[in-house]
Amino acid sequence: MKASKHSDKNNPFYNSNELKVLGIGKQDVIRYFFGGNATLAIIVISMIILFLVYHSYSFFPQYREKLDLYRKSGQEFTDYASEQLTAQKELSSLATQAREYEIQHQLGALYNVRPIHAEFKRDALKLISSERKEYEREKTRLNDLQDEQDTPAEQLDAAQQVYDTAKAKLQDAAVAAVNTLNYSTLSNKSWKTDPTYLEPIRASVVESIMTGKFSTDFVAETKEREKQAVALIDATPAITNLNEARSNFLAPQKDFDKFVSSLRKVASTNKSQAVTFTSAAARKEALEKKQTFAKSEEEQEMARIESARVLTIEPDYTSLNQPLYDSLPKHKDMLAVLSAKTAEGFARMPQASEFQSKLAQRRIRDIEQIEDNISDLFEEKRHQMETWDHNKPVSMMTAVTGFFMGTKWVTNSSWQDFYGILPLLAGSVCVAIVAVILAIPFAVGGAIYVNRLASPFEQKFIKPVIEFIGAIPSIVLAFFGVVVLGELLQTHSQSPILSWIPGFPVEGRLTILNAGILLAFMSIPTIFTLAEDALNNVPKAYKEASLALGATPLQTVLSVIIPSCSSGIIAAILLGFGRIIGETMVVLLVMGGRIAIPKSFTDPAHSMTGILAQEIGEVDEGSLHWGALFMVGLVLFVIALTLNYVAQTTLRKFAKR
Amino acid sequence: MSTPEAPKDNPFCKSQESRKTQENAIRTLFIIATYVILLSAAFIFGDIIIKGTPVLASKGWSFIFKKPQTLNVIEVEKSDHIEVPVKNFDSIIESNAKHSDLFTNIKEVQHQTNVTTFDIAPGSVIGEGYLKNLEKQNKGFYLRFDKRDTQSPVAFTLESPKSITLRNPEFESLKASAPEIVPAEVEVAERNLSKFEVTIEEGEYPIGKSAHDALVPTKLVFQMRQTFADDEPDKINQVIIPSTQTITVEAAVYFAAFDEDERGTLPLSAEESIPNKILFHTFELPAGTHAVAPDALAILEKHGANSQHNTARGSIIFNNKKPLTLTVPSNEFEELRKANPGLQISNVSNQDIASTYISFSLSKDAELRFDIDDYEAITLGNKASGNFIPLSEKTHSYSGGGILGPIVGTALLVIICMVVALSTGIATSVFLNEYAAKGKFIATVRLAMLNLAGVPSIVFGLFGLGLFVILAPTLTSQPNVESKLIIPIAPIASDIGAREVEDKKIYVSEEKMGTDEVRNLAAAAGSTRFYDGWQYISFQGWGTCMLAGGFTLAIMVLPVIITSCEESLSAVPMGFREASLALGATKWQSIRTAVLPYAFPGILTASILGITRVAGETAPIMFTAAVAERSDLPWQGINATGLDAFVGFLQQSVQALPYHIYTVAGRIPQSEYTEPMQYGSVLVFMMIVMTFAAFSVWLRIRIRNKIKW
Repeated sequence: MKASKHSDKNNPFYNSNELKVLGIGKQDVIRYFFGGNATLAIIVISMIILFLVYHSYSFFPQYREKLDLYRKSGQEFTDYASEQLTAQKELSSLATQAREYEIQHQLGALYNVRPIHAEFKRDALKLISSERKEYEREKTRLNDLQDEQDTPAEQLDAAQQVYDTAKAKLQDAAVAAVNTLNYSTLSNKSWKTDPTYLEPIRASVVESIMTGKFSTDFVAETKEREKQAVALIDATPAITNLNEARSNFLAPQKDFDKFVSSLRKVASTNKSQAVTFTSAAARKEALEKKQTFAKSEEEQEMARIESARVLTIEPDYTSLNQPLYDSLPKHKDMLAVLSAKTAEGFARMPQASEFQSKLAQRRIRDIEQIEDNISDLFEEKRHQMETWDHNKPVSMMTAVTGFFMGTKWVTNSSWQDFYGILPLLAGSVCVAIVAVILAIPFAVGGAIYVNRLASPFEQKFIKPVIEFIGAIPSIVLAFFGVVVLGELLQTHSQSPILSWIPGFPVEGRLTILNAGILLAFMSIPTIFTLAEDALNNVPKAYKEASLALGATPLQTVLSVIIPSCSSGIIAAILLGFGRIIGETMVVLLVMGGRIAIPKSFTDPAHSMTGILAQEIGEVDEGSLHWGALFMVGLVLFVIALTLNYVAQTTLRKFAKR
Repeated sequence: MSTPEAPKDNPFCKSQESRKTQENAIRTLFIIATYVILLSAAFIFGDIIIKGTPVLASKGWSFIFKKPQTLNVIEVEKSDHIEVPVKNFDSIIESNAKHSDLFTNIKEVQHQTNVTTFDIAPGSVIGEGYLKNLEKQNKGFYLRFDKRDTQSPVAFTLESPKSITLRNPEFESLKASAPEIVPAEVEVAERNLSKFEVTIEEGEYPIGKSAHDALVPTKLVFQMRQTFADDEPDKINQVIIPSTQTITVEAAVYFAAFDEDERGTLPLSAEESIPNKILFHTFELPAGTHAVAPDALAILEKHGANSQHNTARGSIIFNNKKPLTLTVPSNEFEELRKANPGLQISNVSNQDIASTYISFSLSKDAELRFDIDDYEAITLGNKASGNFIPLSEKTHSYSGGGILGPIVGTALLVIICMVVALSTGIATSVFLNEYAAKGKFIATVRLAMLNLAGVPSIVFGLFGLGLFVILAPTLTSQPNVESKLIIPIAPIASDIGAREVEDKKIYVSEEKMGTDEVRNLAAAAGSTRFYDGWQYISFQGWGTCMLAGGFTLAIMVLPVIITSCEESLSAVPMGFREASLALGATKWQSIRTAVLPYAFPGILTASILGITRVAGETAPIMFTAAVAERSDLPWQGINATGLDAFVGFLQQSVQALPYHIYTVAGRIPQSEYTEPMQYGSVLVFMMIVMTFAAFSVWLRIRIRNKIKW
């Protein structure tokens, strides 16, 4: 509907009495009011961009200064050495884990008998607490009476009797309580259990409660059996080799650790001097100001002394960093030992196939992966240390790449904060991909079924229900993921039927997979609705022509309808992807919050949205951390806009055709 | 449709059998895909309903009508005659439905409490602690005083005689201000506390933390290359003495900083001990009530005279116009009167108030759950009798009580958001659909809206934080020191209560000077706000409050509202407008009478859809409006009237249901005790949101089917 211009004088409806101010009548005012509201969308979107940029533009210069300080104080040098050690320490800890998992696997149900015993005892004690208190009371009373010299015999007997009944009551209660406990009541559902152990455990719990001692014969016996079994496992060639490799890995660590911490001491002194210096000028100014506001002469004198105490001379970094330069020859020797011992360890490493446990195999494979590049890492870091110069200025480019390519996001650290977006970006993208892959078959399949194959009743019923699913608040799904789905996945992924899936069995409750499933569920309504629309928009003639050629309805759908609306479906998927990547609550609560680049889709990870939600509430306005978070927000915004734009363009193209 | 024998050259033709199996298989796959979605939805709903319903059933309405509280899990020893007020008893029974058979011998008991009611005349003087007590005991009484009194006498009571030892200067000033309490015979003793005059040479020395700390209050000028961290007491750092100095220090400092045997102390080039004799006066203060000048009390307080007076700030003067009637428990009344000689009290009357308690026995030791206020009531009620014997205590935050606060907060946020979003949303859609001609402007608006719809909700949160929480302008006479921009409007004297100046750290400037100067002064004085008699527009943001949250949500939901409103407007047939215009109506008249009424059902659907979306969002309100803990409802505890009260109300932070779920599900340790709260609040939240969602889906279907032009 076009806006009609002012009617001319000949129009009989024209009202010439209309009040006009500056040539603007009531109709115009109304029009401008509505128009003004319409510009709000433009204003808001430009303000979002403005704010994100305003709060983050100073991030890179500030970060450059921080990195400059990091270099000047010699922390960078120290971190090169410590990265060598960290990479090497990973090996020994993986080896330890592999052995533990293998033992756990081979022992089977026996491995969990003692933990189950402890948990049963704890649960049983909770159930019988009042009987136990009564028993304890009677016991103390009886003991007190026995300790006293001149207690009459009949009083003693009476007390003894009361004590006996209390004891019997406790025994009965304990037996009753223990019988209510079952393997299904265990808090850790992934524990392996064996029905033959159930009765002995119960009996042993009752015995342990009655005697008041933790250990019973059964427990001791189990311990002994475990010990023998572990000795046997340790004697197998795989584990023997693993143990030897591990001790080789461990051997040089202590000395190297000492070396690194000596470097660290130097660097932290340097850093603290540098930090004191950077704030000195501002502190001096503040104290001088305080001097002018001082109320009494005494206060003024003290403020003067305090400002005189501020040291404004720049520290001499060259002499401060001298010990670091001097440590290079020693480092060379230490590194030689480290790499020699590490290589010796690798030589003894058993093959992954020699292990029965999947988790152990995964650890061994991780070690093999490290083996491929650890010597390169050693060499690279050594080279960096040798060419290191504290005076080399840190360029702006380093700060920019440090953010976009940085693999560390470390905040509130006493050593050095790093703001590298890569782990967060990787987490966000990884979970979105998992979710989309899971969502596509269901959402698109559902849309095809509902639009083309379902009966009218199903159509009427399913479409509103899926729209309704779209209204489930994300926090409810996040809650479901934390409380129900995590455990469900962890427990069921243990089953051997699923072990062919890479990354299975899942090791934790909160993983990318868990969040991905929920996000898939969440994006299904979006993708479904849009895909269904796209299917709906295919001209009827296509279908009729196809049917006329003798195709069945299904053939029509698969080879005529879908290809003709594929861009619409792709747009739907892109929009779904956009919705997933911007989702906050599910990834915050369900993804586990580990800030590292995930290796597999069953690892925990963190995300861009999650880090924003988690950290921005506790950050000071205008600080470096604040700027970094807004920078993350900006990246997120750009990704979402791009996805949205591509999807909309695809849709428009599709609509035009 | 399929022909029995298709010709061989038809590309779609395959053998009948294999085609059928294949068709069926693929069709089944599609059916599975569809129904898996429905089944998983059913699974999620089912789990929440199955585990949530028992919680609601056992807690009943109290779950909706109580605020979230800390849950205390207490092991209680079996005991008789435990007494607790009636309303707390009901709530205790609800929390412990599992153990309800343990509560036996339940009977009602009446208790009398004795209270005194009295009037306080204007101009009375009272100690700060006593005033706070009065305010605690009289609901709704809050004194906005504007003056303090540092002269009139204050009183304190000693239970037993007390021996007091004072140094000479303190003793002299006590004698000067309160001669009546200093007895004639005073024991005088003389002790020698040396001072030292020391000289330190210019240079750089190693220094330890304890020596450094001792030197800070002295007049020595020294420079540290790096500061000491609190967690490394044994560290040695370098200290620079820029010039050779001679200072006088107390013995304690001397031994801490210059002792040659210690590691990390400074070497001295010269030292001299200066004898310093100090007189100590010891006398006996008899038991009873003493009224003295405030500065005398300040001295005595350091030596163990207890009172609730604030001697540093002074007493408070009542500025009420009429006598005030207040009530306190009778046993506290005497003490109040004795301790405040400046209090002018009249019309004293004693009264007995009967209150009903429940007395019960606990037949067995049991682990019981108490909301924190029930626990306080039960410990208080049995303090005297000692019948309530807790054996162990564990607390679980946010796990007790109900979810009144979050429900109210969510409702307020939704209301504010919808008011803002609907008014601008409808106006925008009217413009887009009725007024706007196709052109660049409209294309930009539509593009902006499309993009706005794709912005992640957390980015809206960031935007709300940047705009509403820390930047938006407010009209105030007490602007924030850290405000981004302050524009003075007019000098308007508003009454600044002395109490606000003290409590909220407002810097009050008496003289007239420039805004920036006052601001700098206030910042230097460590105040957060300042007042100089002017009214300002200050760009300091609204803080974390429901207004900021509501606006953020409104902006987020705007594209949804605009799109669906526009849809319903464009569904109104063109003929309606044409007919109206042809009858001579103006543009606006025809929109108002011929378009909007028919689009109304569609707009209603849009708003309900908006509510569904907004009520469920967590990310945008996390740092713009929501707080995890808040003990009162948003309209409680606002000490203002009229417009100020309304503005103050809008600037309150709120609890919100989705944020509460986030707190109980993600931020506190999980245990069996937190589970009822989790499932209960999730179920209530789901019921609220899903009701709206179902309503909007139903409305849409109805409109689609019913309204055909």
